Amino acid sequence: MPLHLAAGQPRTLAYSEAIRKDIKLLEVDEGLLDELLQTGLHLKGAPGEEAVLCSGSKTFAVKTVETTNLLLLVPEEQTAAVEAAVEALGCQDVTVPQPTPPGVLLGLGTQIQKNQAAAQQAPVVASALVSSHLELVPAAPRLHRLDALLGEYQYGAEGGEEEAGAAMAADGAPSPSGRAIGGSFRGGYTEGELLERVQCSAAELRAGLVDHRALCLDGRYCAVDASYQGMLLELVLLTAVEHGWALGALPGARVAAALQPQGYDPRVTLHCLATYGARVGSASAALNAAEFEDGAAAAMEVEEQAGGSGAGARASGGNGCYALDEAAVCLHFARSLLQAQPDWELHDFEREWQQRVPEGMLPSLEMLRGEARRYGGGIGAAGLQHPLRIKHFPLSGLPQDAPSRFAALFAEQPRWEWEELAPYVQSLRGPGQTAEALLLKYARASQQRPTDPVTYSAR
Amino acid sequence: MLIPISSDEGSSRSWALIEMQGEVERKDGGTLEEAFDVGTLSVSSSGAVMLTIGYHQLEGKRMELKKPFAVLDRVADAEGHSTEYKVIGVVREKILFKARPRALITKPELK
Repeated sequence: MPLHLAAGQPRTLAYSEAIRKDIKLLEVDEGLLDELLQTGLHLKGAPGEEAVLCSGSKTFAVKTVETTNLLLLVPEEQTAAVEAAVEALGCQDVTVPQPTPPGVLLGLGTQIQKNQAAAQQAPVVASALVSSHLELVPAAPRLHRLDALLGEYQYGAEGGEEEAGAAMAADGAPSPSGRAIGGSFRGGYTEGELLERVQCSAAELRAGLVDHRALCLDGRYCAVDASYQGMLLELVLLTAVEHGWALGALPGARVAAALQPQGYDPRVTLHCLATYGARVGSASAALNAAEFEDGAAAAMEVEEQAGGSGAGARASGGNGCYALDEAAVCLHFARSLLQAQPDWELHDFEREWQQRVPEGMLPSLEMLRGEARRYGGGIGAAGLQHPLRIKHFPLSGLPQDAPSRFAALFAEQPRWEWEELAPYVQSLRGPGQTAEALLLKYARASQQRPTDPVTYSAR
Repeated sequence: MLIPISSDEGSSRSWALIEMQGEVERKDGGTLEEAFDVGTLSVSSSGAVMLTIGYHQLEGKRMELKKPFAVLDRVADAEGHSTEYKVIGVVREKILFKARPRALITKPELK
């Protein structure tokens, strides 16, 4: 129990021998304190990085708050010792000097009495001295390190494929996740290794991995080489057309099986389907799709697949159906067009784009937010109409931190409207910060006439 | 680099915090690193806490902290490599002395 002080029972305050100055105080709210006492918390940071405290689901920046006051820390007292001293006092005869005359502040006599009384009691011993404490400020997880770590190993880039391919050939079937067999995937990082290096909590890391579409092979995470991923997607689309599968209900296992003979690890194929779409339904849906095609023969084939890759299915759910996301697929084709030629006349681009996307998909410029920007239009000096143009301007090419990113945006185009600017700055918001606050800090808003749209430019 | 902060049995201990404005000086020639008595703590009937140091008295009060403090002790491994922090206590309230010290003067008895 903390300091026990009772009326009429003074106690001596004393410094302990070699009072400690290296103890730290960490300010936590009750919820975080509970978590600290039960499971513990972690401080993370590379040398040179600002330290960050992570709980299971949140990240905090750690600040030191100094004070000029003197803070003495007294450890918990053993109630028994305190009570014993009180008892002892009660038994003794305390000689009382002359009572202090009224109107006088505590006289020397009372002082002596007090000191004597205090000497009978257990002293209050301060064992530590502090002049600052640590404060926690909620912060956004610093995931840019995750980008770098995942990018270190690019599956599908030169050499990477072979390593995983060898692993596949060795077993003949996808290895059950979690167990390391001879020849299993060695690139990338495990979740534990990532947690050590990235300044975020476990829950934030998992969300980040899903967001980044990280490939997980044998419990290790890595990125997939962008061009390899794109090529795989186009192959999947071709295969779907060949077999007459609907893009809204691709049977995962069958797609993976179709591409396996060509050297594509089924897990990577399924990952590709998940990246450009989402899983829907279950094994029963896959069987239904099979019934439409070759009847009994196909149904049996699927069942065989189900039996054979049962273990794999449990681990990766490959028997599910995947629906490709129109926006994601169209974006892929737009990106390849823009990478080949960064600057297009809008009209030509749209025509070319429509030709490239799979049948039944409708590309729209909305899908290019954060990837490309339109410009041009208006009347030139000679009175001729300038054509609208489109230019490759990916978010991925911009700096991570706010001031540099805004500088880069304004270098590209001095004035922006909110609609165009939004996709490029949304990710910069800290926890609880609104877009308005962000704009207020880094940009200057202006409006030509009250009816014109507001534009933002550099401060 | 990962530094864990964890607790063992010592974590449920409640520590006390005494806050004063200023510094403690020793006039008797000793250093602040030795064990020595600072003064006397007492509590009045009204609940105010008094700290008497020599001829001065400071009045303070007990207050509950808005957010508790965890008391952390740094523990280094045997090799001295990985450090970690252990929670050795929790502080939920403090005794704050912020009034100016009052001099204790004895008036001579009027005869």
